[in-house]
Amino acid sequence: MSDLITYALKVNGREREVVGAWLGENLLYVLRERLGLPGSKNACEQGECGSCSVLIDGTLECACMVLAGSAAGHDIVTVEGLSPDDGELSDVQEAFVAEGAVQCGFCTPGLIVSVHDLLSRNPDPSDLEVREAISGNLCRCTGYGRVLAAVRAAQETRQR
Amino acid sequence: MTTATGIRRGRLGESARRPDGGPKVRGQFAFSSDLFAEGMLWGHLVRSPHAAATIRGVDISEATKASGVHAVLTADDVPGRKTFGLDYPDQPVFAWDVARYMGEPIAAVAADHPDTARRAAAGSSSARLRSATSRM
Repeated sequence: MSDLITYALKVNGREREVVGAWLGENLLYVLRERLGLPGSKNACEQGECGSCSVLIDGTLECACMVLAGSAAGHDIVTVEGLSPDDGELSDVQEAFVAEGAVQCGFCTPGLIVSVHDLLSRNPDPSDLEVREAISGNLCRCTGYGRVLAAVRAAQETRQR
Repeated sequence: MTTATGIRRGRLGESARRPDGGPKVRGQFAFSSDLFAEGMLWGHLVRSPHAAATIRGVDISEATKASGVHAVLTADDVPGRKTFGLDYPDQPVFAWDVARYMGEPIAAVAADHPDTARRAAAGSSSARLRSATSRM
């Protein structure tokens, strides 16, 4: 395979080197297959399902739609970077478990990233704003009821 | 009415915390696509572009020769019965004579990189897998 390049990505606060990678690889592939960060999930690989949601310079993106090399020099945060270092869960992660918003769990990492993004931008979202924020995250198990309850719980925890 | 005494909490009727919840919200739960073994390859299917078609032939010669491609499989490579299913094992692993729906698998490519497999399956650039299907 031609067009092999080496570049550095800043992921979850750490500089990571990507060595001899094909130029055309998307960020999701590089995170999962080259950097050992499989938390971002590959479900549709066409920007429809939100399972690979990450933050790039604080903006929510589908990692599958980002050319990995173009993310060099930017700050990437994946679901692995959202838990506190002490092994505990973030408030959003805790709310998802406590409220029963996790079933098969394949969409969960993407939802966790989306909800972190929402609450950091808007600490007091309305129901409509919550629904809009997670509209890019497809879940086929929960019917979203418990997900909405989890977001509400995380929101209330932050307001206390 | 009698009341049972000495019954411990934490049994029937308790709201139990999901045991795999923690790993799943952290992205640490290993789904099948997260499993790894040395020497694993990437697969991509060649599917029928037609809802109903006669398969006149599947030419895998160029795809097989492409750099990075380890194997190209068709119905000829399926050992034993070429169909599967629980109650009625009548579904072809790979279609060989006719394609019965758009998207029916005809061949599979295994390669060292997902894009190599995709290119070989799509019949682009130097790696070409021609699946000669035509509408019935």
